[in-house]
Amino acid sequence: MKKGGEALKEIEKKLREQPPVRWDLSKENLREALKEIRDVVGERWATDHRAVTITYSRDFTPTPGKAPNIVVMPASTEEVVEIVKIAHRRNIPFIPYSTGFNHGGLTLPRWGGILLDLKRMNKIEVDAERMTCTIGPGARNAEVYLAVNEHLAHDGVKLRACLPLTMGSISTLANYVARGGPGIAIRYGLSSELIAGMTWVLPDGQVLRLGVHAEGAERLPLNWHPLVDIMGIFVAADGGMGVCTEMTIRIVPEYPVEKLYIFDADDRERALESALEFDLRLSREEIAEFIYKSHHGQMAVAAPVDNPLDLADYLPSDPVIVIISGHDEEELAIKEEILMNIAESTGMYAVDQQALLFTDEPLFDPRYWKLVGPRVGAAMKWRGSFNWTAGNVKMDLIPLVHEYYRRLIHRYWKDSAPDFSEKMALTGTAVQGPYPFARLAPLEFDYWWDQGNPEDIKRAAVMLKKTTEMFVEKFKATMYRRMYGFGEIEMPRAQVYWELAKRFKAVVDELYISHPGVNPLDEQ
Amino acid sequence: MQYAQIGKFGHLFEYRNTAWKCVKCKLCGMTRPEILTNYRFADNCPAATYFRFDAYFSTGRMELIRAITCDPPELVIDEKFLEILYTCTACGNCQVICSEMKGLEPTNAFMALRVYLVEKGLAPLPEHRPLIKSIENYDNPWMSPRSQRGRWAKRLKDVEIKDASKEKVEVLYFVGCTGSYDPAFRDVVFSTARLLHGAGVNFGILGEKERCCGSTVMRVGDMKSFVKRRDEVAEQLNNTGARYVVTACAGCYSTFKHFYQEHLRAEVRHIVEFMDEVAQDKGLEHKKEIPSKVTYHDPCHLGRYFGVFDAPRQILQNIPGVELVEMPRNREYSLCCGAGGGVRTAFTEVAVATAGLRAKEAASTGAEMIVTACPFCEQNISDGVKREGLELPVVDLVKLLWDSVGGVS
Repeated sequence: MKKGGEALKEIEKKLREQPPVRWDLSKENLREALKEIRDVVGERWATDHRAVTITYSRDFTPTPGKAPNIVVMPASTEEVVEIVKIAHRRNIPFIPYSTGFNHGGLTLPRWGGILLDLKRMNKIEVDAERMTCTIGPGARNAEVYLAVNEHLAHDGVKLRACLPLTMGSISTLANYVARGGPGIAIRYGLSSELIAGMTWVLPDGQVLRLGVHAEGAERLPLNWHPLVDIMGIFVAADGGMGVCTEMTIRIVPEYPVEKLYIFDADDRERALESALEFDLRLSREEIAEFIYKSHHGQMAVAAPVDNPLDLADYLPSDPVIVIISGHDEEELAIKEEILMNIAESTGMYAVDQQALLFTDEPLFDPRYWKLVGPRVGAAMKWRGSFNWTAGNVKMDLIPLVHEYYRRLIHRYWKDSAPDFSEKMALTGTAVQGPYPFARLAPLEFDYWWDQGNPEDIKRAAVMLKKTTEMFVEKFKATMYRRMYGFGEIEMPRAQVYWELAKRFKAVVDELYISHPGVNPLDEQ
Repeated sequence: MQYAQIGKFGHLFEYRNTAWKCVKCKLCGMTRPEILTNYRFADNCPAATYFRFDAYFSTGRMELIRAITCDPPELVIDEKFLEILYTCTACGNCQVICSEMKGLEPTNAFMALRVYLVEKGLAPLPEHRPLIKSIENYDNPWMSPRSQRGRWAKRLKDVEIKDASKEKVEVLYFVGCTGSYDPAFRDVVFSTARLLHGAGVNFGILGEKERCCGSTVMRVGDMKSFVKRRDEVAEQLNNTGARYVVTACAGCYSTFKHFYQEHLRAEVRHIVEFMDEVAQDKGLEHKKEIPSKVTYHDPCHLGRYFGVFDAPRQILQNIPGVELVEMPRNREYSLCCGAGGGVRTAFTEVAVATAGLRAKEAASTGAEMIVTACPFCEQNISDGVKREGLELPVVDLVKLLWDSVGGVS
């Protein structure tokens, strides 16, 4: 077993290598491929024009990428099948792309090839009776939320989808596949638990219908599968297993009365421990719709201000955001009482939201947390780009990770920014359920840098590398993503799926053409 | 307005670093999710909705700016590049969203890019050149003789209109090229004159001496020609000694407000603003009820560009019998009609397809009439209505107001 740092270097080296010779990116092959692709989707929806392809060559992080040779916009699974078959037959790598907000190179072609822009596949179909919603990769969070919200459950309560805690313009399906996961997972489970069915076009063009998408499964209860459930292989595959063209997700009630609270610790010295205990207790009680222990400063960067550092002194040190809901005010009052009791016994208190004058109303409206994240991502106004790593460690390790991270900041960031203080990082650890598995303790580190400032980029790059090494070496997290991410792994099953996934990939993608580079699934 | 002013742009290289900062979240192509109420109307960028490829979103165009301001440039300016740039209607929706969130000014950046390319001799599009030439030669984009510019006034028998080049007036009614020459807008021009007259305003026009404000030239990027024209026209307007320049054309209004204001002694008002002020100061007597359910389409150059949202709605609500219903995309998140930025001239199909979407959105409200306050929106949405096979009249607010105030049957 190689050490994390060495493993990283090897992966880096491998990723920078020239494409395997078996790929055919010759002009002639690509020209013929484009011709065939246009026969499938029509002239209008496929192009090799540089002014178009270059706009897919870069995300907002400094991760190196290359423009695809061909961009195609299929409208259906059938069209994706035909395109993938062409890619497979002609040995051209391909990469799926939904709404395109990516970082760390998730949808950047490494060597060119075909990029499937799936925005046209934006189906949203709600089955209120079965409480599911079927979506295409082009369906965005805000649309999915509102489309589902038009329907009522049998008891007359509105329905909603469990959305990832990100912007309204982002693909819901892509987040579920990439286990960005529902930000409001606390009550209903992880993205993998909320996926009822998926349709995948495998790298050789075969179609795999999983869960309720399988033939005959429509007559079965949700999550009862006609055969062995192999959906886990495809969650977190990030396009490495082909293209997910359709997904059915469970939808849940949106209770008519809800309230958002922000808590902080009485004792700043013990803030982290208090917040963690509070989180754990709340989760066990199962009264909260949503729990999120935010980074220190995250609320500031989400506030509509030009410089969040001005607010750092006024912020809760370890804010925990909680949403409770109910059928009526009476139910809410009972839950509120339980909530306050737990807060008191864990050393937390409810922050007077009105006192946080720097924010405006939407930040505290539960709907915005569920629909579009805090203020549709105003966070990025401050400086520019961000990247993040997230991993799974047990909750009791968080204080230790926090401490290691603090040291990293002092050691590496201070060198490039002498006026640096810890507050300026405006980052730290975040905790999000559900318990006891999966996102038991995702640790998230945000790096905010100005791409126009070389010092910022250098500092951010060092921090990314060091944090990643910390994860691998100190906390034995499993790295499987080019973007230095450690997304959720359902711990008890991780190894089984890992092995299965590798074998599966080897069989269905013997040419290694599907999303190469991002998810290499090699020994490292 | 919380967002950076749309349409008042600097040099391309001022936007170079901001192009790097675009995170490609594509909120710029949407109606702001926080105010979105109906998922069917989430899209809010005409070009992106039509073409779908990333290049046609603001994020794509920001990437093009990044690529061509690199040293050496990563991209050659060619026909496709120009198509991507000139299919932007400069409606400003992207800037409304992005300038508040990230402090970027995408619409302004794209306008700056057009100017930069024209300066380099690489733009505008062939379809735009006859318009520019016509404005140079005839002072209007329609190649119509100057002598016919003020002819409409002679047909308006019931109102005596002063010649502002000879008589001192308080209000100079700047008719604009479309109003002066296009018979389809005769009603708007007549109604404007009648409303001013009816309100007892001392107003006049320049008649055949009126010259194009240069909006078209500026919007396709020919800033050099525009500045020359602007200086000449501003001097002419100043010579009238008028206290107000009032126009019923949102394009002229926007051009005056952004690029003339510092050179003009008169204050600039859109007729909608002006009549709203008149109604508030003196009151307007409505002689006729107009029993109709209407929806209002915000012209970009009036709404998003200058925040004129309330005045038109106030006027509508004061008309007896009118019931105003809002479209899901309204005010600063209104969907552009698709005509602006030279798009209707060069890419008519894109413009009319966008207008068709807007027409369908209006129809979804149950409205019996679309009201707007811009001749280009009116023209384009009317075509959109036809394209979709709808029965929905598109009416200028000024005409509707005069119908009520003047008791026109």
